[in-house]
Parts: sequence; C-alpha cells; structure tokens
Amino acid sequence: MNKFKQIIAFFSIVFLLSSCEEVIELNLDTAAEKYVIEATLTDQANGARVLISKTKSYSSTNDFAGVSGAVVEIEDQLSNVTRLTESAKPGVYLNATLKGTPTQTYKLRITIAEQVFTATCTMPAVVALQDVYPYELNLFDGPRLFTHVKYTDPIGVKNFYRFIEYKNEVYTKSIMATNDEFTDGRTVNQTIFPFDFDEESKLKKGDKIKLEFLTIDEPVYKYWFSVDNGAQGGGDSAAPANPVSNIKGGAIGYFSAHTIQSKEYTVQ
Amino acid sequence: MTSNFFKLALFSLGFILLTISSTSAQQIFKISGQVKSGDAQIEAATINILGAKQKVMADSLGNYSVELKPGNYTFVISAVGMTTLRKTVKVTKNAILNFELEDSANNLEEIVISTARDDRSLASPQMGTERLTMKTVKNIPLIFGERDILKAIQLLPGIKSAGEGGAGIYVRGGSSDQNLILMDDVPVYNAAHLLGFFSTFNPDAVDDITVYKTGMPSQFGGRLSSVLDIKMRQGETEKFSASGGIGLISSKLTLEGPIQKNKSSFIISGRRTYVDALLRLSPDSTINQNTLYFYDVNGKADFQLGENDKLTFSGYLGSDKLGLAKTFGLSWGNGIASAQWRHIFSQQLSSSTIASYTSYQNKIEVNTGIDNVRIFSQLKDWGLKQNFFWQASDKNLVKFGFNSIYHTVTPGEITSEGVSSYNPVNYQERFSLENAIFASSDWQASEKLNIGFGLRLTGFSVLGGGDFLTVSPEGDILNSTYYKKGDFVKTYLNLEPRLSLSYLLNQQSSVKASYVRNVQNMHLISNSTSSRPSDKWLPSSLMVKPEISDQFAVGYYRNLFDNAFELNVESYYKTMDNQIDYRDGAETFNSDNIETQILYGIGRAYGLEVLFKKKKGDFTGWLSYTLSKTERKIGEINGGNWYNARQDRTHEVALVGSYQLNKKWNLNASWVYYTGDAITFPTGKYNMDSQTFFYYTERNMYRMPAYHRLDLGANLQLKQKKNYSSELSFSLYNAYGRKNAYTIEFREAENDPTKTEVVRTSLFQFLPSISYNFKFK
Repeated sequence: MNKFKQIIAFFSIVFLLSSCEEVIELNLDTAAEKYVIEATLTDQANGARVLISKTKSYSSTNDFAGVSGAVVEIEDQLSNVTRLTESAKPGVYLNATLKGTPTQTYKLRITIAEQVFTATCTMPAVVALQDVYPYELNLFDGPRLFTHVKYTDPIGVKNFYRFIEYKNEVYTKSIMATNDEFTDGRTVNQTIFPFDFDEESKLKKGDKIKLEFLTIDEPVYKYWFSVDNGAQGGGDSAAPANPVSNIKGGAIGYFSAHTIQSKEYTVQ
Repeated sequence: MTSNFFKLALFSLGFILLTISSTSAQQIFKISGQVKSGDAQIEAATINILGAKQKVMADSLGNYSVELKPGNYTFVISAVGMTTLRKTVKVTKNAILNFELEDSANNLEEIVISTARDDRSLASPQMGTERLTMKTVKNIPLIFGERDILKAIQLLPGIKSAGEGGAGIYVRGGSSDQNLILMDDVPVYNAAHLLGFFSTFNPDAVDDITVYKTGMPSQFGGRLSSVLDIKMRQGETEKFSASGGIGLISSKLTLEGPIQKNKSSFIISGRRTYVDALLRLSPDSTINQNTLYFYDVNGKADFQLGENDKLTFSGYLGSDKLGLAKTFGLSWGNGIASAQWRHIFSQQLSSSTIASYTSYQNKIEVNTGIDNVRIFSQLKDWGLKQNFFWQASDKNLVKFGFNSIYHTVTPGEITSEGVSSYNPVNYQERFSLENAIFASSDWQASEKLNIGFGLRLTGFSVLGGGDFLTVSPEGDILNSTYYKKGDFVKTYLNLEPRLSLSYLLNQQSSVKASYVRNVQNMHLISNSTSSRPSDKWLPSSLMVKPEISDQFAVGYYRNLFDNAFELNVESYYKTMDNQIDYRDGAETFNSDNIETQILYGIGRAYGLEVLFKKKKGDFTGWLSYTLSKTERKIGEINGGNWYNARQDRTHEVALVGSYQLNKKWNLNASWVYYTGDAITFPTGKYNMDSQTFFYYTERNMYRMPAYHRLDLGANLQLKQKKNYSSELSFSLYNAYGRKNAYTIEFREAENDPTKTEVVRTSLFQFLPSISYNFKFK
C-alpha cells in the first residue's frame, strides 16, 4: 500500500498548490542512549555481518560511532557457535567464512558490557530470481522507468521478500519489502519505487542498476514493513513508532538470516 | 436471546410510559393545530400559554394540542431559529389554531448571524446543542468560498477541526468516526470529498444542521460523541425557481418547484468541481492527463396526501474520482435513498416511518500493463426507523419507536485481468443486525423544572457467514470458528439511559444538567491522521466489543440585554470504553485477521465551553472558548499510562463577526486559535541500512505549534429584480498568511546531509476565492 500512500500525498499537494515547506527549529528532549544492532547472515560468503552503534540526539550530526568490544556469536541448529570478530572499523563485526543454509534457524547472541541481546531467525528457502528489467510507467510525474523484478512465488507457503536497489553502486535507500498475501503461487513483476519521486531518482541512460533479491522470514518482513510505516520521520501515520524488532534485550534493529541473489542491467 | 431482548424492551418502554402523569380534565376545550413557517413544519416548537401557566411542545410535524378552560390566553410560540410569536386567544370551544412563524434570520432586513437560540433554550432540558442554518453560514468566511456546513460548525465550542481545511471533526474528545452524520435521518458513512477539503453536503441543498454534543435524544444512537442532524431542503410548493452558484472550484445548480401546487414539490441540486479542468489547462503533459473531481446530486420529492399524510422521497449520489494518467484510478462515494411517511393519527399521536438505504464504496484500479488489478470495498445498510410522537398530556411529550439496520460490509475484493502478479482475493463479508427501541419523555415537572428522560436499548447481532476469530491479548489467533450465514454469532445488548434537567432561575437564566450513555458498534479502521477513502468500517465482532461512552454535563445559560446577547457555559466529563488503536507495525488491509492487529483501551475527556453571542443589530457574532483535556489509555502504549490523544487541544478560541454595512454589503470575519495537536516527535536518531532513522519514546508527548488564522469575507447583494436576484461573495482564507503546520517532518538537511532538519509544511496562505450566486423565480 506504499504506492497508494505516495499517490494520496501527491494529490494533496497538487490540489493545494499553495503548500509551502520551511525548515524550523524544535526543542526536543533526548532519550537515554539505546544500542542499535544491524545483524545479517546470508547464504553467501562474507554475508555474516553485525553492526553495533547507539542512538543519539536528533540535533547532533549524522556520524554514528560504532560500539567496540562486544562479543558477537551466531549459533546454528547443531549448536555450533561461530564468533564474529571486530574489524578495523569499530563496531563492525565480521566472519568471512560463515554461511547460512536455507531453512535452518540461527541464534544471535551479543554481549556488550553487562547487557545481553539475543535473536532468532530462520533463513527461508531460495526463490529463483528470474529477471530484473526496466519498465516505463506513467505515474504522477509522467513516464519514468522503474526497475522491475520477476520471480515466481512458491505456492502454498508464506514467503517474504526484500529488494535492494543500487544505482551506479550507490544504494538508493528505497525500502521495499513485500509478502505473498496477494501473489501466492504467481509469477510476480514487482515494481521498485524510488525513495523520492524527484528528478535525481529518475533512471537515465547509462545508469548501471544492480538489484539484490532477498528471501526473508516473517519477523524480518515485519521489521521492514514497520520501518516503512512510521520510523522515517513523519508523514501522516497516526503515531510514528519504532520498528518491530526481533531482538530481545531492548535494542533497536534486527537480525536477518536471508538468502540473496542479484542481477544487473544498464539503462539503454 | 431474542425473547430476552423483547422482554427487556417491553420493560424499558413500560418504565418510560409509567413516568407519565396524566391529568384528569374537568370542563375544558381542546385547542390544536400546527406550527409552520411557510411550507416547512417547525419541529419542537414550544407553546407557552400565559394565563394558564401551561406549556406544550409541538411534535416533529409541528402539531400541538392543548386543553384549556374557557378564557383569554396569550400564546407565546417559540422555536429554534424562529422569531417568537405572541397571539391572544379567546377560548370558548374546541378549535384548530395554526401558527405561522418567521425565520428569525428574515426579520432583520437582510441576514443575521445567529446560532439560533432564543428563550426556549433556557427552559428546555436539552443541552449541548447547537443549530446552524444555511443563512448563518452565509455570513461566515469559509475556505474556497464554499459554504460548507461541516466546516462552519467547527467555529462552535467543543467542536474541533480534524485538520487544516478539512471537514472532519472531533466533538468533546471523540474521534472523527464517532459522529453520527445524518442526512435527513439516514447515516452518511464518509462525509468527505477530496480528502476532506469538502464535505458531502452541497450547501445549496442543505437547510440546517443541529449538533448534539451531549444529551442526545433517545431516537439517536450508534455513535459515541455526537449527532449531526442535517436536514436537506424541501422544494418550494408555490412556484418554480432555479438557483445556482459559480465558484473557482465548483459550480452548483438547483431546480425546484411544485409538482402539484401547494401539495407536492420537488428539488434537485447538483454540484461538480472542476479542478481537473484546471489540470487539463496545464501545458505539462504529466499533469493534464490526470483526473481529479467530485460531484454530488441531491433530490427530494414531497407529497402531501390529504391532511394527515405526507410522503417524502429523497436521494443522494456523490462520487470522487482521482486518476493518474491511465495507470491508476481511485474512486469513492456514498449513495443514499430513503422514503418517509408521516402520518397524523390524532391530535395527540403522530408518526414518522423511514425506510432507507445507504452505502459507501471505494474502488482502486491499477493498470500498469504488467498488472491490472481492481480492489473494491463497500459498506451498505438497509434501515427502518419508526418514530411516534405522543402528546401524553399538556405537560408531557413522549417520543418512542424503534430502529433496525442490516449492515453488510464487503471489506475487499481483489480482482485482476489478463497477466497479473495478483491472485483474486475476497475478504469475508460481514453481516450484522442493529436493533434499537427507544422512548423519551419531556416533562414539565413544575413551572421552573423541566425533566427529559429517555432510554434506548440497543441489540447488535453479529451474524454468521464467515470465520470468527478469538485472539489472545498478544495478538495471536487462539481459535477460528465458522458460522453459517444467518447464524447469530453474538448479540451485544446495551441499555443507554439519557437524563436531562433544566431549572429556570429567573426569566433570563437557567441551569441544566444531563447524563447520557452512547454505544457504537461500527468502528472505523484508520491508521492515519487524515481521512482516507480506503478507511474501512468494521462491525463489532467476537473480539471487537461495542464502544461505550458516559457523559455528564452541567451548564448555565443567560440572556442579557433583552435577548440581544446570550451567554452559555457548559462543562462535561466523559469516559469511553473499548476504544481501538493499532499494534506497532499493524497491517490493516487484510480484514480477515484484522483483530490480530488491534489494541483496546479506554479514554476520558473533560472540559469547559463558553459561548458568548450577540444576536441582534447590524453587528452580530460570537466568541467561543473551549478549555479541554482528552486522553487515552490503550494497551502497553506509553507503558500503559494515560497519554494525550492527538486531538487534545488545551485552548480553543473562535471569534466570528458579521457586520451589515448597508442593504448591499455584508462584511464578515472569523479568527480561530487553538493549542497544537499532541504529537509524537523523535527523541533520538540512529543509523541503519546506511540511512538515518528516528527513535521514538512516548506517544504524543509533544505539541504541534499553536494554530491561528484570520478569514475575511464579504457578500455583495447585486440588483434585485422581481424574478431575478444575484450576489457576489468574496473571501480570503488565512488573511495574514500564518504558516500553520500541516505536517512536521524530520529529514536529512538538504544542504548538509550530516545534519537533520525539521521541515514544516503549511497549506493555504492567503487563499482568495470569489463566487457568484443567482436565483431565478
């Protein structure tokens, strides 16, 4: 329904014509710091990666220092525990060889000082990525190209997907996650919407597009769905709220064990 | 279950009827008749008979009856919005005596602003009521120059606008779905056009609105916080006329006249906006292919069949259409039809019977070439409402009757054509039967004390034809049971007592008190602040319980300087049960398991409302002030503590004035001020997925900036001829260009991505409008 929201927003604006934007100052309290955990495990090498940082005041700058000295471990179904080691960059914990296996469940355990955070995630089965291609749609800012992703959803099981688009090797920041509630068993052509409908986000001739196609489990889908519906700083959601996390222990973020495939194309 | 229902019903009816004291007559004559104004019957007029120390109320058809000893009496007839009439009568025999009242707006040369209260309001136990006629609305500057009655009432105390320029309202701490909006007694489920910037009420078709903020008469029920009783105009029975208006955004045309002179009449009124025509003028091909308009059509036909019967048929059809090139289409609208039969059985007893149909539907179409999908949802009601008006004695007017509604909710049907990524989906339809019986009595207990009591018994039956869930407090499905179509899944019975008292302190002032309970079984699922056409109504189910509110109110009313001024002060305390909110990250589109996404809680609201009004003279107007608090306590939101509801605005002020400069010019202005809405702002930020997100702690702990705005307006009466008159209306919305915050958003600073900036979006600075209105007769 993301599409729908943008369209409504657009019509509000066109209709109002005279709307005006202005930067203002606000005096807001700063809540106590919280740990922020972004943990992924994929079915590829170099996919085990955990970033740990902290929340900070909204008025401070957007450089988020990593949190060093944490013990980060991932445990598989056979109780094999693998430790991720902190890289040269503080707060970034990696393991180059740890690979997940689809359908297996993994446990994440992080100890920072006295605090312990845990999460469990099941890596879903692979769903074949069939095609990634541009297709023109005539939406509210006229015809423009949208990346489309083609795959065939397995029938009779719940599936959840996430799409990550890079334009000329830069992540476009568009958060796209979907389920198969309406597409169970269908061949799906998913439209990837840009973060903003502005001139800059238009796909132009020569742009190199890379699309990553992830199969994710339900709690991780819920995380991205709720990010899209409230944690991005405003809009008309009745009450913005923090995304629904699968991490226990009071941290923000997620632990996602997912499969990943990617395809590239160049805009002609 | 059903037999219990009827037992309770009979018991409560009996209770009411027993309270009626009948007087035994000696040597008396019966005087009866009708109170009218032109063709319109005057509802609930009060007839005070000086010399007999008696007072009677006319029923909804304007009929009254009184028994008097022979002698000379002065009849003082008053009604809301009407000039009080005095007539001296000598009673020597049984007689029929009709009274003709004039609209109080008419007798001051031109038009006067009045929220229409006169002497009557002091003695009547009815409180928390405001009435606005279209004539009043004419002299208030309104956005787009559209005399929208739902926006005009936002200038009255206790009634808050749900958003800039919008028709949505909050009444005494309620949500916008808790208002019962009636178009000639039939509920309207979505009263918004164009995302709320217009209401579904075409100003040319509306006669008046009565708003009940508390003490709702027992014939009304089904919503928690208010009743907006909107009456549509009846066609003129004397001669044909055509009237209309041409504005910047919309145009209107109304035709009316007799079908059979003085016996039957018709009126048909249409309105259409042409924003899309403006879009089409744009040279930009990306804009001129888009569609954006709405229309509505109101029609009504009245037939007077003999002296005792009247039939009225009315209908409404309205629709909005938005389209993006040929790729995306969205349309929504209401359709309403009703037939009403009014019958007079005797001078004491009359009745009104209304059979009605009302529906709201919306449709989304997507045609991208690779996906062709249609999503359809609908709510429809078949209803029957029976009212009886019984003048039980000269001091007691009894109203009783029943109301039945059969609801069918089609929450969503997804169909696709040709190649598509989507499966067809049909969410389960929901059927329910809402029955109510009611009775009330307005009783003059003594010369100074008036008592109104009423009872309403509501039975809401959830009917089968689908799966019904039970859900744990954590939102997990515990059980799902299939019920056959027609099975009773659950019946919720609720008794709604209504009690009001008024005590006349003297000729100029009175005090009143009331208690009212309301029950609501249709709930709007809306997870955004603005009203969306795709918002859906959800009937009570096994998990979703009826919402219940209890309100206590007291008030003081005073007329000053020979009724030139009036002062009303009311205070209320209201509690609300079974209020609905959503879990974090709720998905509300799938209605089959919507109950897993909902949180339940309670609410409370209290406040003080002051209205000071100047009713007479060239300068008229009012000052309204509301001091209030509105809170919710829902599930684990804010740690299970009370928190401010979004519409919690501590102070709210409206100042409205109209000055009749001369016969031609009327100048008017309004100024509003209110404390900003309670809102959730971030208390931190973090980095995730290589972008910045915001961290939230408590719900609604911050405030939007205070809102204030001045609107100016002027009406110019152009030359009037015998059969043609016209006028021009000018208005300037937000005359000093205050940048009121519509939204406040947090984002990466445009010129320094390392910083976060706060962006305020405001709408409508200096929005002028002009419209031309005409009438041929």
